[in-house]
Amino acid sequence: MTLPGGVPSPLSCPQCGASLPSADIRLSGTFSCPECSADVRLEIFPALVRGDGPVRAGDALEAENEASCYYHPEKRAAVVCEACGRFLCTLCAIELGGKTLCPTCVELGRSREQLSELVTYRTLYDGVALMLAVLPIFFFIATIFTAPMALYVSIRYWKSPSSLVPRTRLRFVLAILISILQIAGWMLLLGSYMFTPGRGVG
Amino acid sequence: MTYIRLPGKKRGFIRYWTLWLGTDHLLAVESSMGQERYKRFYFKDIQALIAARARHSKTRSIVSAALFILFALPLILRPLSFSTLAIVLSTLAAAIALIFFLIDLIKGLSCVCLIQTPVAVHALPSLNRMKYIEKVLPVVRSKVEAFQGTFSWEELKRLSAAAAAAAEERADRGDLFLKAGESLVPPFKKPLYGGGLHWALFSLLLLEAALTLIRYDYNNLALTILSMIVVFGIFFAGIAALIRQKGRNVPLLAKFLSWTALALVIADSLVAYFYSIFLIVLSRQQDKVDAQRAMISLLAKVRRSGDWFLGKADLFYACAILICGAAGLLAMNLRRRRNGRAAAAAPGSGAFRQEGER
Repeated sequence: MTLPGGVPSPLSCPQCGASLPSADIRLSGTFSCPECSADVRLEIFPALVRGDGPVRAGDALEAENEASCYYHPEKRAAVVCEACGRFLCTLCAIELGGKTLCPTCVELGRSREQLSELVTYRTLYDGVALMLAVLPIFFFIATIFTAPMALYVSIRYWKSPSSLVPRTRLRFVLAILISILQIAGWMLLLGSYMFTPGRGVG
Repeated sequence: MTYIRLPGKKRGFIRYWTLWLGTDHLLAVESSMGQERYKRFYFKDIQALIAARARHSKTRSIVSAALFILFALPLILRPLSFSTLAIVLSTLAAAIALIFFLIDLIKGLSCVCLIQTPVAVHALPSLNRMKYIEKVLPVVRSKVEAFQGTFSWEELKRLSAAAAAAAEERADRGDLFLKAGESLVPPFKKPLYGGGLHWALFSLLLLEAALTLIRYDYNNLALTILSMIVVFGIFFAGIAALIRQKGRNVPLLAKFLSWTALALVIADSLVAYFYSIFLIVLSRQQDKVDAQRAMISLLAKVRRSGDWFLGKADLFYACAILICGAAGLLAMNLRRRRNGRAAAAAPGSGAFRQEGER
């Protein structure tokens, strides 16, 4: 988003969306937006001015005995994929998490969630289990179904990958405790109903 | 990878947003019921961090304080018509308003923060207070400098030259930035506020006008209660609209009508309140345990057209809110058409911006 000649690209006011005039852009500081007069705090970095580097399209093969890229046989191999060992040209090499990977390994890592750098979504089963255990308490009769479900989810997904950010298993523990208490409560209730003299057995 | 939580957290009804510091990127996390979504901003790509103080923050504090006073006053004055239930509800409402006010006071000024990368501009919802921005900026700055370095002398010269050229251009054109409707800066691409609250407010005004006109000649308990519910709706929609419209591109007429409508509804409610007290005293029912119900029943039995004072007041009120509602809806409709025309004309704005900044 840089313009020719390294002129900084327009920045927008977060309040009204209007472009901030270049005359007001400083490395760091506060000024008023000319459209909505909101106080704008701005911090710009060298990437704004430098822009994107030239696209590395890969070098052509110069001799027949040179190693070629796996995906582009006419281009010279520059690096090796650290996951599968394929030779890659500069166009195909993907730098990710300090490693060089080929597009296939990146896609494989993304689909199998093996590359945490590519994960954009996670289901948090500990949260699901805790919700199943806690929320139905307001409709108590529903806990006869949700308590076993919460227990099942907690046990089944105990070892599943959790959040990318630090998170304890406290929610799983709470969900298990609460669901066990609910199940025990239901068993007591049903047992007392069945074994009360004059009502059920005994 | 280990992440360190940065200051700031924004809570919604079922979602909340946080910001985490990784070794080579920032991680923005949106958490909702049992799931998380992640966005990464690599330090080598971050171009700018922009934060603007939210215009509505002061308005929100003032409204919270006003609501607290509004609900606390009856507890202090204890008028005769207040039943136990009304006292409890008033106390609850006053307490909620006070809590909101104190939270706002403690957390400080609210703001909106954007992070710009070569691909797009993203909002950082967790940095919604200026004090969080001041704590996070130094950390992000040091990390970005580690990856991007600092500005070279050549880059600083280019920045200064571009800023000076833009300032000179602005001066040559006679400071057009400050003239309404004439600016080198392209118009808004799209309004950030859709106007939903104003549409709701003006629609409710029309409904209340219709109910008042019906009740002029035919009144019963159901209509009275319905009218009270609509008035509550107008009251809350009006306050929310007043908060949202500050600093936004809402037509001036709509802003003025929002204030007028709220003033009319409050005035009518006060008139109805004192008139009903008058009715209760007149009917000698002040010893009734549940005076609230007595008040509503008495108001429901009154035929407006048969009462000299109430009839004229209601006619004036109905006409006034009818005009407010209709004019407000017209103003909002014109705004929608104008924004639609501006959006249709938008394709040239990118090129215009580049030409303007050259």
